[in-house]
Amino acid sequence: MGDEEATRQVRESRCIAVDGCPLECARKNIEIAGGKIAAHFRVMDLLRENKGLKPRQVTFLDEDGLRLAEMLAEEIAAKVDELGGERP
Amino acid sequence: MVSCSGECCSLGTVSRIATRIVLEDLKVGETVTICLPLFLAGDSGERMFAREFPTVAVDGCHRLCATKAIERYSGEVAATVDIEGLLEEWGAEPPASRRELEGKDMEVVGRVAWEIAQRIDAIEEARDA
Repeated sequence: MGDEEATRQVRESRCIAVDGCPLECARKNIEIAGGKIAAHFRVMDLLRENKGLKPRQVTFLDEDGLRLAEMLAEEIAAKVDELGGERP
Repeated sequence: MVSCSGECCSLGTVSRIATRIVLEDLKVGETVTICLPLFLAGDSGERMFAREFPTVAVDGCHRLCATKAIERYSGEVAATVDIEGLLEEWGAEPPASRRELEGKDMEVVGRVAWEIAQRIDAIEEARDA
Protein backbone atom coordinates (compact mmCIF):
# COMPACT_ATOMS: atom_id res chain seq x y z
CA MET A 1 0.00 0.00 0.00
CA GLY A 2 2.39 2.61 -1.28
CA ASP A 3 5.33 1.02 0.52
CA GLU A 4 8.37 2.29 -1.39
CA GLU A 5 10.58 -0.72 -0.74
CA ALA A 6 7.88 -3.21 -1.78
CA THR A 7 7.11 -1.19 -4.93
CA ARG A 8 10.81 -1.01 -5.81
CA GLN A 9 11.17 -4.78 -5.43
CA VAL A 10 8.17 -5.36 -7.71
CA ARG A 11 9.53 -2.95 -10.33
CA GLU A 12 13.04 -4.41 -10.27
CA SER A 13 12.14 -8.11 -10.20
CA ARG A 14 10.56 -10.60 -12.53
CA CYS A 15 7.20 -11.24 -10.90
CA ILE A 16 5.04 -14.35 -10.76
CA ALA A 17 1.34 -13.62 -10.30
CA VAL A 18 -0.71 -16.32 -8.59
CA ASP A 19 -4.42 -15.59 -8.79
CA GLY A 20 -7.08 -17.46 -6.87
CA CYS A 21 -10.10 -16.14 -8.74
CA PRO A 22 -10.98 -14.81 -12.21
CA LEU A 23 -10.66 -11.18 -11.06
CA GLU A 24 -6.86 -11.59 -11.25
CA CYS A 25 -6.00 -9.08 -8.53
CA ALA A 26 -2.39 -10.26 -8.21
CA ARG A 27 -1.70 -9.61 -11.90
CA LYS A 28 -3.49 -6.27 -11.79
CA ASN A 29 -1.63 -5.08 -8.68
CA ILE A 30 1.75 -5.99 -10.20
CA GLU A 31 0.84 -4.03 -13.31
CA ILE A 32 -0.39 -1.06 -11.26
CA ALA A 33 2.95 -1.04 -9.39
CA GLY A 34 4.83 -1.00 -12.71
CA GLY A 35 6.19 -4.55 -12.44
CA LYS A 36 6.85 -7.03 -15.24
CA ILE A 37 4.97 -10.33 -15.13
CA ALA A 38 7.25 -13.25 -15.95
CA ALA A 39 4.57 -15.86 -15.30
CA HIS A 40 0.93 -15.97 -14.37
CA PHE A 41 -0.82 -18.86 -12.59
CA ARG A 42 -4.56 -19.10 -12.16
CA VAL A 43 -6.06 -21.49 -9.67
CA MET A 44 -9.22 -21.67 -11.80
CA ASP A 45 -7.17 -23.22 -14.64
CA LEU A 46 -5.76 -25.82 -12.27
CA LEU A 47 -9.27 -26.65 -11.06
CA ARG A 48 -10.43 -27.14 -14.66
CA GLU A 49 -7.53 -29.52 -15.29
CA ASN A 50 -8.30 -31.46 -12.10
CA LYS A 51 -12.07 -31.74 -12.00
CA GLY A 52 -11.93 -34.60 -9.52
CA LEU A 53 -10.58 -32.27 -6.84
CA LYS A 54 -13.21 -30.16 -5.13
CA PRO A 55 -11.84 -27.99 -2.33
CA ARG A 56 -14.66 -26.84 -0.05
CA GLN A 57 -13.06 -25.35 3.02
CA VAL A 58 -11.97 -21.73 3.04
CA THR A 59 -10.33 -20.95 6.37
CA PHE A 60 -8.32 -24.19 6.56
CA LEU A 61 -7.78 -26.18 3.39
CA ASP A 62 -9.30 -29.65 3.22
CA GLU A 63 -7.51 -32.62 1.61
CA ASP A 64 -8.44 -31.63 -1.96
CA GLY A 65 -7.43 -28.03 -1.31
CA LEU A 66 -4.07 -29.12 0.04
CA ARG A 67 -3.47 -31.38 -2.97
CA LEU A 68 -4.22 -28.50 -5.34
CA ALA A 69 -1.95 -26.19 -3.34
CA GLU A 70 0.90 -28.72 -3.56
CA MET A 71 0.39 -29.15 -7.32
CA LEU A 72 0.37 -25.41 -7.83
CA ALA A 73 3.46 -24.99 -5.67
CA GLU A 74 5.30 -27.55 -7.83
CA GLU A 75 4.30 -25.70 -11.01
CA ILE A 76 5.44 -22.38 -9.56
CA ALA A 77 8.74 -23.89 -8.39
CA ALA A 78 9.34 -25.35 -11.87
CA LYS A 79 8.72 -21.91 -13.35
CA VAL A 80 11.17 -20.37 -10.88
CA ASP A 81 13.77 -22.92 -12.03
CA GLU A 82 13.01 -22.09 -15.65
CA LEU A 83 13.45 -18.41 -14.94
CA GLY A 84 16.78 -19.10 -13.26
CA GLY A 85 15.70 -18.32 -9.73
CA GLU A 86 16.80 -20.08 -6.58
CA ARG A 87 14.77 -22.37 -4.35
CA PRO A 88 15.18 -21.82 -0.60
CA MET B 1 -13.86 -6.26 7.44
CA VAL B 2 -10.84 -5.81 5.26
CA SER B 3 -8.00 -8.09 6.28
CA CYS B 4 -4.29 -7.78 5.68
CA SER B 5 -3.10 -10.20 3.02
CA GLY B 6 0.56 -9.75 3.84
CA GLU B 7 3.17 -12.44 3.29
CA CYS B 8 6.23 -10.80 4.85
CA CYS B 9 5.50 -12.28 8.30
CA SER B 10 3.07 -14.63 10.01
CA LEU B 11 0.74 -11.84 11.11
CA GLY B 12 -0.89 -11.74 7.66
CA THR B 13 -1.96 -15.34 8.24
CA VAL B 14 -3.23 -14.44 11.72
CA SER B 15 -5.23 -11.55 10.20
CA ARG B 16 -6.91 -13.71 7.59
CA ILE B 17 -7.82 -16.59 9.91
CA ALA B 18 -9.06 -14.28 12.69
CA THR B 19 -11.22 -12.40 10.18
CA ARG B 20 -12.73 -15.62 8.92
CA ILE B 21 -13.48 -16.77 12.49
CA VAL B 22 -15.41 -13.54 13.03
CA LEU B 23 -17.22 -14.01 9.72
CA GLU B 24 -18.09 -17.68 10.27
CA ASP B 25 -18.44 -18.01 14.06
CA LEU B 26 -18.59 -14.79 16.07
CA LYS B 27 -20.58 -12.44 13.84
CA VAL B 28 -22.36 -14.73 11.42
CA GLY B 29 -24.74 -12.84 9.13
CA GLU B 30 -23.67 -9.47 10.52
CA THR B 31 -20.39 -9.08 8.67
CA VAL B 32 -18.83 -9.52 5.25
CA THR B 33 -15.23 -9.41 4.23
CA ILE B 34 -13.70 -7.52 1.34
CA CYS B 35 -10.58 -8.78 -0.35
CA LEU B 36 -7.75 -6.23 0.10
CA PRO B 37 -6.00 -7.02 -3.22
CA LEU B 38 -9.29 -6.53 -5.06
CA PHE B 39 -9.83 -3.29 -3.19
CA LEU B 40 -6.35 -2.10 -4.23
CA ALA B 41 -6.76 -3.25 -7.82
CA GLY B 42 -9.56 -0.75 -8.23
CA ASP B 43 -12.89 -2.53 -7.96
CA SER B 44 -15.36 0.33 -7.63
CA GLY B 45 -18.06 -1.91 -6.11
CA GLU B 46 -15.84 -2.87 -3.20
CA ARG B 47 -14.75 0.71 -2.62
CA MET B 48 -18.36 1.92 -2.75
CA PHE B 49 -19.37 -0.76 -0.24
CA ALA B 50 -16.68 0.37 2.20
CA ARG B 51 -17.86 3.95 1.74
CA GLU B 52 -21.46 3.03 2.59
CA PHE B 53 -20.93 0.61 5.48
CA PRO B 54 -18.77 0.82 8.64
CA THR B 55 -15.52 -0.92 7.79
CA VAL B 56 -13.06 -2.54 10.17
CA ALA B 57 -9.45 -2.79 9.00
CA VAL B 58 -7.64 -5.88 10.31
CA ASP B 59 -3.96 -5.07 9.96
CA GLY B 60 -1.19 -7.57 10.61
CA CYS B 61 1.58 -5.07 11.26
CA HIS B 62 2.21 -1.42 12.01
CA ARG B 63 2.33 -0.61 8.28
CA LEU B 64 -1.49 -0.62 8.46
CA CYS B 65 -2.03 -1.28 4.74
CA ALA B 66 -5.72 -2.15 5.11
CA THR B 67 -6.41 1.05 7.06
CA LYS B 68 -4.50 3.17 4.54
CA ALA B 69 -6.30 1.56 1.58
CA ILE B 70 -9.74 2.17 3.09
CA GLU B 71 -8.88 5.76 3.98
CA ARG B 72 -7.45 6.44 0.53
CA TYR B 73 -10.32 4.97 -1.49
CA SER B 74 -13.41 4.95 0.72
CA GLY B 75 -13.05 7.30 3.70
CA GLU B 76 -12.53 6.94 7.42
CA VAL B 77 -12.36 3.44 8.92
CA ALA B 78 -14.86 2.55 11.64
CA ALA B 79 -12.05 0.77 13.52
CA THR B 80 -8.54 -0.55 13.07
CA VAL B 81 -7.24 -3.73 14.68
CA ASP B 82 -3.42 -3.55 14.72
CA ILE B 83 -2.41 -7.13 15.46
CA GLU B 84 1.29 -6.38 15.93
CA GLY B 85 0.24 -3.78 18.52
CA LEU B 86 -2.05 -6.25 20.27
CA LEU B 87 0.71 -8.86 20.49
CA GLU B 88 3.07 -6.27 21.97
CA GLU B 89 0.38 -5.36 24.51
CA TRP B 90 -0.18 -9.03 25.41
CA GLY B 91 3.52 -9.92 25.45
CA ALA B 92 2.79 -12.64 22.89
CA GLU B 93 5.13 -13.88 20.17
CA PRO B 94 4.03 -13.95 16.52
CA PRO B 95 3.60 -17.50 15.15
CA ALA B 96 6.78 -19.02 13.74
CA SER B 97 5.04 -20.43 10.65
CA ARG B 98 3.32 -18.29 8.03
CA ARG B 99 1.54 -21.30 6.56
CA GLU B 100 0.09 -23.42 9.35
CA LEU B 101 -1.02 -22.26 12.76
CA GLU B 102 -1.78 -24.59 15.62
CA GLY B 103 -1.86 -24.84 19.41
CA LYS B 104 -0.64 -21.65 21.08
CA ASP B 105 -0.78 -19.76 17.79
CA MET B 106 -4.48 -20.55 17.40
CA GLU B 107 -5.08 -19.20 20.93
CA VAL B 108 -3.60 -15.89 19.72
CA VAL B 109 -5.81 -16.02 16.62
CA GLY B 110 -8.84 -16.59 18.86
CA ARG B 111 -7.95 -13.56 21.02
CA VAL B 112 -7.52 -11.43 17.90
CA ALA B 113 -10.91 -12.59 16.56
CA TRP B 114 -12.50 -11.67 19.88
CA GLU B 115 -10.90 -8.19 19.68
CA ILE B 116 -12.34 -7.70 16.18
CA ALA B 117 -15.77 -8.78 17.44
CA GLN B 118 -15.49 -6.28 20.31
CA ARG B 119 -14.81 -3.46 17.80
CA ILE B 120 -17.89 -4.53 15.84
CA ASP B 121 -20.00 -4.52 19.04
CA ALA B 122 -18.79 -0.97 19.74
CA ILE B 123 -19.73 0.14 16.22
CA GLU B 124 -23.21 -1.40 16.60
CA GLU B 125 -23.69 0.21 20.02
CA ALA B 126 -22.69 3.63 18.67
CA ARG B 127 -25.06 3.19 15.72
CA ASP B 128 -27.98 2.18 17.96
CA ALA B 129 -27.40 4.90 20.60
